[in-house]
Amino acid sequence: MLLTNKHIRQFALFYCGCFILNFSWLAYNRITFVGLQPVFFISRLDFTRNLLMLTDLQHLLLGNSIICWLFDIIYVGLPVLLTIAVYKDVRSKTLIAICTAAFSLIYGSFISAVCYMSPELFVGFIFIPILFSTDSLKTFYYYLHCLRFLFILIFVSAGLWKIKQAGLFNIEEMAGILLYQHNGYIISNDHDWYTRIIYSLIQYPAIAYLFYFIGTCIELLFVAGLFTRKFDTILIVAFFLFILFDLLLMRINYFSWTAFMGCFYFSKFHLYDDRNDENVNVSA
Amino acid sequence: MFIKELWTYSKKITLAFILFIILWSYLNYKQGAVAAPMYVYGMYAGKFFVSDTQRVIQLYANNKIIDLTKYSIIDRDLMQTSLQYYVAQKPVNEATFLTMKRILDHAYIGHLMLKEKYTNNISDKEFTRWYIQLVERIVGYHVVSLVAYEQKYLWKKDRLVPVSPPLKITSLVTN
Repeated sequence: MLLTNKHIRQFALFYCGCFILNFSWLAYNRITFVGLQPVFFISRLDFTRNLLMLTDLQHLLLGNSIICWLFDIIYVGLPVLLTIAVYKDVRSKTLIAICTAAFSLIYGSFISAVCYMSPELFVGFIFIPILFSTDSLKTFYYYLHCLRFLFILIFVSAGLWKIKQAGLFNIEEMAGILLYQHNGYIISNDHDWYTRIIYSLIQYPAIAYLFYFIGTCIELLFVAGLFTRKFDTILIVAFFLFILFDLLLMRINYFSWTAFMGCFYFSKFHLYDDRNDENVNVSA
Repeated sequence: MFIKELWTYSKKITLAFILFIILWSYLNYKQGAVAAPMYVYGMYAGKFFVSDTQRVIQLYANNKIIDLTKYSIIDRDLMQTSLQYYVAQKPVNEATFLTMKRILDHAYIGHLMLKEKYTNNISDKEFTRWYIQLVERIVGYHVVSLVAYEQKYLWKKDRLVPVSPPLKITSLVTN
């Protein structure tokens, strides 16, 4: 199947849908600048964030509802504008795409400084707009595969860390993590159904470990994507299982990474190459 | 191979992509600072044990313990981490500032880092006012007094049991 401009528009719509759903969830739970109205920030050993802090935007955001509104509006407005620009194929889409990626980076850096949101959750919304900065189908194709490659490295690195730091070789690992992750919750109410599930898993650490083991296997499974695109549908399913169980067991929401799955879905489309008069078939 | 195909298409994009991967790998190898959007994705890679001591924060609103199981994941995380982060922000910001300044000094831009930009100008009283509003919004009733304790717990037999007396978190200054 050949990659066409229709697929670029479809991907833009998918990205925008993921973004809107994610932002709606954040806004509903009031973890936006307007919802939080932050009064303090916490630093992180992050070069980019610390360089951004040279502008003193962090102090402008604290207790200033106008700037908070502005930040939220720009953050939600740019991806919508970008999708419209992609659909209408306007010339300024390159500029809009770069602005969207840059502002997502700024927004993610600062919002994660004022609440518990992890900046890693914003990675998809930082990288994916770059896909739409291109005017040519060919560049889009190569950017798409670069992003797919990058996501594989991110996911596989998470699995490799579990080997390097030996979490994978510790049968008590998941029970210990569950205890750490939910300690405040489980001591609040002994009779709660979720507390009882967590208690059961802690009492049977081997069963709990099975979830950790399967999770790590899913992370490492993505290495297959470096060599072939044949299993991309399986990888998409594995990814959704991973984030579903992350939400159910760990109560961590990684749904913002769903936008990356577009790279795996659209990877099956080939590029028509004028040079060789044949379809370019990139092996991974 | 993909990189080969990419190289044929554009040497600039290939070099930028490889440089990005090398930088990201280096940050992974060094295991210290990151550079957004190049993060280290450990995701609970270190060793955890059931016997680990758990430090738990408990909140008492109007002299009654707040049952975290009644609220959404987000709300209980907000209640707990906002307080934890506030308690930690002073030493964390100070340490981060010193480390980053030392690194940026090597790049001759350390002098641009002014300490006041990396420090919060908030008193415990101001934080408490903000925090009470946050808790009131979540629990849905007027909070006259709010007290927080940190206590150590250990897993014994089939549940978590306290192993230290509760320590009052003095950053909250309500009566």
